[in-house]
Amino acid sequence: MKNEPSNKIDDPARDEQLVAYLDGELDAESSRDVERRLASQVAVRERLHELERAWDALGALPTPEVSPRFAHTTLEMIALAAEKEQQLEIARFFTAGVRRLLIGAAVLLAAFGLGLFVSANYGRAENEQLVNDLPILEELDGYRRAESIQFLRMIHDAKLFPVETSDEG
Amino acid sequence: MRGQSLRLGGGTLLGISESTARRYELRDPDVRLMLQVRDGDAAAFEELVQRYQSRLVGILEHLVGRRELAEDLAQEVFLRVYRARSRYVPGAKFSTWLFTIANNVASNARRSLSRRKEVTLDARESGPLGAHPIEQLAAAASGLMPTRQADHSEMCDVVRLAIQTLNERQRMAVLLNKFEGMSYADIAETMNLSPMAIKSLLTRARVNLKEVLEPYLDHGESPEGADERQ
Repeated sequence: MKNEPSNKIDDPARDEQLVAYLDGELDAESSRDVERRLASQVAVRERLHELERAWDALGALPTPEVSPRFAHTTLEMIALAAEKEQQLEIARFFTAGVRRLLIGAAVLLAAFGLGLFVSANYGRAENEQLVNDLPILEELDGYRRAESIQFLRMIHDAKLFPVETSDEG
Repeated sequence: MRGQSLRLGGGTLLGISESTARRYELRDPDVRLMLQVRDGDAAAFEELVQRYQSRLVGILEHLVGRRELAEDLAQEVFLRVYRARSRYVPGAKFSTWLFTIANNVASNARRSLSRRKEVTLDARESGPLGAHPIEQLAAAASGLMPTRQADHSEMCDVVRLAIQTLNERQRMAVLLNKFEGMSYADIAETMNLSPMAIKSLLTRARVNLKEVLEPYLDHGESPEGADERQ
């Protein structure tokens, strides 16, 4: 680095180092390197001065002062925006609330209908089974005393006991 | 904007750790104010407007070239900040987030204006203004004091013109570095570029400013060639 020609007019890498140095963006070692070059190379010093001078000229610009009215109108605009937001939020809330109500009612109706259907069909099936089994249930105590199904069939086939059924009249 | 993670800076929860958010909250008083805004404190928002309005208008004026438009754009920036308040998570300094929004707003405005052809854009990407930058500066300095002790307002006019010779990115980087004292890292975040890119941008900007201002700073009078045109 120290052997590089120091009188290059156009040296982007050198300029980048100098600008970063002026902006305080170099690490300690790089800063020391720039300072060594500044101490030993006139052209580098001159280049630094040129870059610094134009930059310092920007300091001539004043910070614009905005009128107190600017802050007032800005805050007014924000307040209007906030009001609009709130109105939208309320509208959304009510729309969502009505929607939830309708969905809830629909769910209840559906549950009620399903319940009716299930209880109607399931009950009927159970009742039918009970009706079919009624003759057995009426004589259940007697059947329990029998030893086996074969014994019951044998008695039935032998017609030892007349069957009393009301529907045979 | 991260943290403000529209990427950056202020914004969503994506990619911002709690420790990062806490760090910025502790270090940056403006972040603390913005968190109060998030929690519904209107006075805190007013305080932020007061703190930043002049700086914001100043930078925007340099970016778009018109004071009235700069004020409108500044209000747009504050409105965006306000609208984003509920999602605000500090992932950078507040000023980084704010100027990221400002950069975005200014870019949109310039695009819109260029479509309507209301402003003249920079003629080249990396060089001085148009084909005759010296003439423009000469016009600004014409009829004024020929000595090196230039009138302050004349100096301001010349410097403003010099800034306008920079391209959009160079200008933004210069404004943030010079007038906001932002580091390369913060500027990089604001402009969504790398710190190396910012270093390069600022170097080219400084070289361009030097070339444009040097004749005026050296001689305080119109450079050669501009006299003939007059």
